[in-house]
Amino acid sequence: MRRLDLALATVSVAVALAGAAALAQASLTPAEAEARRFVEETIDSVLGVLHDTGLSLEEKKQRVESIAYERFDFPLICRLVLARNWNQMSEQQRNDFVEAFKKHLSATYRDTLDDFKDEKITVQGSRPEAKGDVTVMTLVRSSTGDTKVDYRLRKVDAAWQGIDVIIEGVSLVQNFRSQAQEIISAEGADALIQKLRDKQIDLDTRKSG
Amino acid sequence: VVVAFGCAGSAPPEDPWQAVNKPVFRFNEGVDRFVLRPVSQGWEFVTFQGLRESVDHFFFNLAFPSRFVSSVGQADATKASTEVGRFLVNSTVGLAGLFDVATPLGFARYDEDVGQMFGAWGIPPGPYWVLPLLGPSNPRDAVGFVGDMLLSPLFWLPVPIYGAGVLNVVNQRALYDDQIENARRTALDYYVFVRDAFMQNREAAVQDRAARSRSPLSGAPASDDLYDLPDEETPPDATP
Repeated sequence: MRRLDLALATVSVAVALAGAAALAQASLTPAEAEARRFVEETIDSVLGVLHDTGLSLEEKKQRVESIAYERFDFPLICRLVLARNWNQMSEQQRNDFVEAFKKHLSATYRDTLDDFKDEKITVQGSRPEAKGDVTVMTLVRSSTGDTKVDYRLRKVDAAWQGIDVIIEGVSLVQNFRSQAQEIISAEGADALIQKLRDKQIDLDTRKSG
Repeated sequence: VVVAFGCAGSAPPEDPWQAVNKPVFRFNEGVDRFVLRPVSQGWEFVTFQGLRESVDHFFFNLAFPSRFVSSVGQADATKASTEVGRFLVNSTVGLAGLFDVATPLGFARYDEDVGQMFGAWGIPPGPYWVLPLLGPSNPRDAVGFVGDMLLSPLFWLPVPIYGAGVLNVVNQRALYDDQIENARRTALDYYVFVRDAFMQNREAAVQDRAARSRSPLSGAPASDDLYDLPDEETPPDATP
């Protein structure tokens, strides 16, 4: 009798929990559910590479880079960064900028991987945005504290793609847009592309030196 | 460097005080490069990471009154009570705040301050303002910072211990050295990078608060036109 009570209680608790979980799931739009899954998969594959003891640091960096190239829409990010300036640029300048910016971001990102230690990453929530975009909020916990990292995602040709990273409220797109605007209005688009390339050389020599 | 001196002509709308801000920024950069960073590297050399983290936790715990008052001032019972819980746990079990045992126990860590409280009251930040030695700010947050100081227990000690404040700054500089140097190396225009990051971060800290007090699900994005693509146009050299 006691056992049956216990079993019944367990079952009812389990049912209640499942119901609550289903309810929480139900409040997510299908787009949010997809976007969250996309972010979770990306985090898992990056952490999988970083925790793989069979890989050298250089191999890890290369694999993380290819994951990033696959999962972020770099040409779109470039257009958002350049905003109205994009329309004033020639085809050549646009292509040069996309190429240089992509290299710049990946070099910056590779640099930060050196500092990666025991960080734990969890998905905290999501919210639907205008134009069918979804923002997925994550929290990176390390021994020095928590960092809020949000990803803005957009469905491009039936596949989700990252179009912005927002760290502690600071959007990467907005931040680069301010810098690009300043340089373009003072010195022009070619100077901006040249600056990206110069920085690239600095970072490369530092890496090998 | 010569170019940087020559472009003080027209200030952008987001930085009307640029003519004053830029020289102060350069001064602060010099202080960091020749004084603060070398000192923090010395500190890093004679300490270990766990100690530096504990020093940071200690000062963070000590700044409890400012976070508590700011939470109460925004009528946020959850944050205020969480702060009290954190302070009690970390001051006792956490050995005077040296260890953050509250976070793993489920007490969330909030970074409220008086400037954010002013923001939640609807006070606008005012223009971007680089303060000597203190760095990026604005009139609202500068006044808020004075409030934070007045609420610090260190300020009310019978004998002022300036060394404690200095230690906190040096220690934090050491803890965030990687991030700061990384930003310096990779930014295309470091002055604009810092200005934009500061303004976005403060705005988000205040917005986060305002969004949550409306309803837990209505966190509207701050500026959505950021993600609008301008109308597709062919490059100017390709148009007939």
